[in-house]
Amino acid sequence: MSEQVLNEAQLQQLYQYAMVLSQHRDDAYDLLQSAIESYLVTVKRGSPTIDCPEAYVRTLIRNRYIDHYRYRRRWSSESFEELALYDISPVDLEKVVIDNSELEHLWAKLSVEDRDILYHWAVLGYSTDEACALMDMPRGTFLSRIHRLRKRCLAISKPLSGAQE
Amino acid sequence: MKKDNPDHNPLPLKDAIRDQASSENLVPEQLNDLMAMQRAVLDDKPQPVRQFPYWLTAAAACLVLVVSFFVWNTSNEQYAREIALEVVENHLKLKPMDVRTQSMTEIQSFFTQLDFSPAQSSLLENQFDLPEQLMIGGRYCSVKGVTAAQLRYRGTDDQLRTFYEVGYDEDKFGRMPDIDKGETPQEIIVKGLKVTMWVEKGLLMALVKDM
Repeated sequence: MSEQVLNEAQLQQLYQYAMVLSQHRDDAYDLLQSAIESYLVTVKRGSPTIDCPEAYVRTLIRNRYIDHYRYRRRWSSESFEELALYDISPVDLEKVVIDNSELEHLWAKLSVEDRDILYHWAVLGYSTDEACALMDMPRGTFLSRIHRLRKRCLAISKPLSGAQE
Repeated sequence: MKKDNPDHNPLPLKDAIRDQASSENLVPEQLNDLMAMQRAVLDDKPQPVRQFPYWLTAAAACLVLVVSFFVWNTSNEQYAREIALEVVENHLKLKPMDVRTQSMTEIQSFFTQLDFSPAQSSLLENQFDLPEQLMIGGRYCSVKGVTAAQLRYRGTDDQLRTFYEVGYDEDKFGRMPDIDKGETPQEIIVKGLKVTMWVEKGLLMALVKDM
């Protein structure tokens, strides 16, 4: 059963993901704790083998947060595929540079969906296709979000770059 | 818990996001609690009779379903029998008619105290061979306490039939076959008489005739 126990590093990373979504320490801890409880119940029942407990718990956190968020406000549920084509090659986002304090400022203003996308891209290292599949988000929606994000990031980083010069 | 980050050097966005995400950490107490919670559950031996509760639950669910169906069915049969008994009693008493007519239009204009309008039954005409012309009149009566219309017909065999109409309420009369939905009328034999009951045009209808 030891391989089913989440280690400290995994717990920290899951907590960080819960923080990315909730932006509130107590809420993040509650999310993590309830997701782990649910995971343990599943394991205890002997349900189908969970290959990657960390990914499983991360999905539980996300689903629980979406449910909670829907209750409070409404999780964005765009189902349309935008027709415009966006140049969202990863290089563009890779090129963006930003100051930590500026990101912190931007981070608080981003929607939870945008933070979720950025987390999957930057921390978990997913490709856009993988992220779409994982987050059950239409690719058009995902691309337009990245497009808007890049514009926001560039708007912040450009003046910064100008100041550096 | 946040890392001190006094420098304002621009970083690649990806690195900045990683820094941002990793700036939040569980405090040691929280971490210990979560580790202890996992061990407490996962270090227990798995329950050996795990399948038994599932089997028992499924069996119990089946039993509840069967019992519910039986109770539902029995209560419906009980309703039907009570209605049949009541209309048969009305048929046997054969109290004087309030109106004598062969016209359904006159019947409709006579029965003004009902909370429905008497209707011509297609089943009566087609299956029981009792067209409007064979009607001889009608009177007020009641079925399970609800004011109803009793219409009388004299068939081509000269036998008297009594036909009952009342506004259909499933809660009051139980589940009755609705011929407008293609269901077959229900037949019950009571006191040597045959009672046929069905729902048509939103009305509960019952025909009593000799066997």
